[in-house]
Amino acid sequence: MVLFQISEPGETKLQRQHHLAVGIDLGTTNSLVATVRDGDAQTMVDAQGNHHCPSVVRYFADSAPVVGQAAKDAAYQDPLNTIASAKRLLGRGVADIETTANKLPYEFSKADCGMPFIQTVAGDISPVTVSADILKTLMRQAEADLGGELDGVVITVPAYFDDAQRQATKDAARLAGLKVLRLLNEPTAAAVAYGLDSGSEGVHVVYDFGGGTFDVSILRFSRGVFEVMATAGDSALGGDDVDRVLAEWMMAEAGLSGEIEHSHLRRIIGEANCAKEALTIADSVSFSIDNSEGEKWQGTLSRTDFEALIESLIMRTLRPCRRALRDAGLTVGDIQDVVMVGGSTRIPRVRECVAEFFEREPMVDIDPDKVVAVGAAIQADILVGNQPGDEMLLLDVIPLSLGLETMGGLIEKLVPRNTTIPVVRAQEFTTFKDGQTAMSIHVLQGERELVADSRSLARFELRGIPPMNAGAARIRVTFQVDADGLLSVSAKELTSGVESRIEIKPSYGLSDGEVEKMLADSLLYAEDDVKKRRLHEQVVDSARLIEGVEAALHMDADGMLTNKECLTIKAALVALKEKQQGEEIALIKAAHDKLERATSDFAARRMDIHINEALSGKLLDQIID
Amino acid sequence: MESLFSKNYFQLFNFPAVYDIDRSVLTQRYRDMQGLIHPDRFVNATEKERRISMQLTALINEAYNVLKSPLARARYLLQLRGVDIDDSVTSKDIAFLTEQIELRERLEDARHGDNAERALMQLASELQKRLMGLQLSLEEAFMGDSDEALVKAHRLYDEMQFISRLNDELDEIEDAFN
Repeated sequence: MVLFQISEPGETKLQRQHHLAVGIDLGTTNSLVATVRDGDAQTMVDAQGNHHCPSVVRYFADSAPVVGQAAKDAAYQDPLNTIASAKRLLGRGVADIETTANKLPYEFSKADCGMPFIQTVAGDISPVTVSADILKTLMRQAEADLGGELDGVVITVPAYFDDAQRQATKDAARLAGLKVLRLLNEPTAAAVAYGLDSGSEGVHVVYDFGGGTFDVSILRFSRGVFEVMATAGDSALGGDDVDRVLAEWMMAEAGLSGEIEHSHLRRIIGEANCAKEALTIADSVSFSIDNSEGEKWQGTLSRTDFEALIESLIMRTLRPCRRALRDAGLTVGDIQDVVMVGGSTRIPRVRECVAEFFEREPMVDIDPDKVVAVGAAIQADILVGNQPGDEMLLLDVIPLSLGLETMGGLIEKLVPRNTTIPVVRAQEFTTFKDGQTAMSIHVLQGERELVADSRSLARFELRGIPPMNAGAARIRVTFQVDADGLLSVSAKELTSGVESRIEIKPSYGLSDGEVEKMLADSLLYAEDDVKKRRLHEQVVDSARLIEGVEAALHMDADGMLTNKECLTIKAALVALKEKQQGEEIALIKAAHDKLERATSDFAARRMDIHINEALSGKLLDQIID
Repeated sequence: MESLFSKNYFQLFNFPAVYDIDRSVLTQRYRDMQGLIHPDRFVNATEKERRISMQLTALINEAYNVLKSPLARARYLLQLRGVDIDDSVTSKDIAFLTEQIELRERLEDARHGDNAERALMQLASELQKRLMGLQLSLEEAFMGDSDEALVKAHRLYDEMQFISRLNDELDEIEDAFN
């Protein structure tokens, strides 16, 4: 309960505790973790002094997976069990990834939940599990460094991630045992890092060309508020594609065609990646790959040829830039600066094209690989409550339109793209047949008009509609998108009150049950005691609640509560404090829930009264100004 | 004290219910309110508070979207003043209907003509001018409180809605060009 803890000196003895929070950039190629120390946000290093953890996990038949550089180094010798770029598969269906999967050197198996599982010696592994294993590694690293368990994390996602991809990211965090304060869009995180660094008011463009995704966001920063005006992108375009285009060129040059082995393909992609990196400085680079006879084939690539090869990929990034500008209602002249994010912006030709398009030199002051993690750390520090006072605020948007299938395979959009979140929208529909008692609701995401061209998020049914004439029933469908950009949908027949509600668990995601099962399964391999961890989480949660309720009682018990209400709350408070001393998670949870219930009305009353007061105060200030 | 949830959008932002509102004041108030109620301010709060914060922020977002859009604001204000807006009813104004047909034809001509991109841009800038003019006329119409003034405002709203839709179509066509 952080509501208006504007404590005057001496008014309260409640101490503001320093909470441990980190920002995690869960990247396609590399992941990073950062934290704010003494007011300064920095990426953290592992035991070997590395800032980056390659987003690669190697699985074994009978031991715990290995994450990071060691896994990456083993990619050639053990390609099938070493998973890289799992982020590209997150929240994707088997059909979705067929084009990508053909180019990914893994064996896939089809799972019931529609998600692609990767066959390894450790069994079939979902991309969510791979991401969770990476998150766990970063978590342990951060906890070792900070000397305690984390109170919360902010995890970044590409702005252009759809609902399924966001949900999958959150599931991964849950599997890793992390408390997610917020999913934050990567470009927004980068803008935070830059904005707070330079303190500059105005309109900023963030051009984020990463390993596997491309995003562009336009933000306005004014008096401490970051407002995302528009975002656009391509969630399947990144540095990986540059490597692939190059690898394909190398193979053609070397006369390699048709099927080649996974490990061979891996090596060629690796060689392509090295050539790409060398060409950011060198004018030409020589490389060697094995040809079909297994002999070394030598070739050279000039920067000019390289640039010609990837020109169309770069052009593909400029289209979303144009669209974002238009959605924001701006022209190039309105832009104050352009911030470069992501490893692919190291390519000189990319910088040139961006400079040409926006008619100004892009900013590259902060390491483009670290800037997202740094911004996430700043936001985590604020959200966890370490920064008192009038802190910065982020207003983000939903990247893709949300809608429903209507007659004839068409989509009725309820929430257009670039709507500020959180958002609640409702629309009424009716039955089209006499006596119709059920209605199937199909939720979609995307910009196209036709269902067939859009991404199916979920289907559910509203049943029990009383039989009426066609057109007489009034079914209200409500979409709610929270501050993480996650959607839930409910439907209600208004004349009878029949209701149906679902959290969108996407066609390509895991159900709550499946996540629970995976959590239980992970016990088999767990190095750390999951139960102990859960107890800690519960105790931290409850300590927060106690802290909040005590502050609330201190401020508002007089005047807002009757004696009886006050006593009920205090009794629940004492009960929870008692249970906190023990080690029974279920008992603490029960006491926690009881206190929440006891304070529910009080909380609502306080919100309303305080916000009303604060608003009239604010408005009064403006009149006086 | 009145609950925020029962206020109308103008009241939420402490504006009188008129068409001509100061955009910069609106934006400033929106930001001030967000600073107080946004879910980011309630990450560690109780479930109940988090839910209220979410709903209230969604309400403020919706109100802001309506008030800042010249078209949505006109519609909302008409509804507040008791006008029933039915989008399925087409206008009976012959002159306006004729103009609609003409504008549609121009859009099609521009789209399929030799210099499509240029022609579309020209049409877009004309539509923009029309929208600006309609906004001024609406300001005037909403100042009166007679039935005639309200009828006039409704007619202007219909016109603005048509022009806006055409404008959206233009954007989509331009999108396809890119």
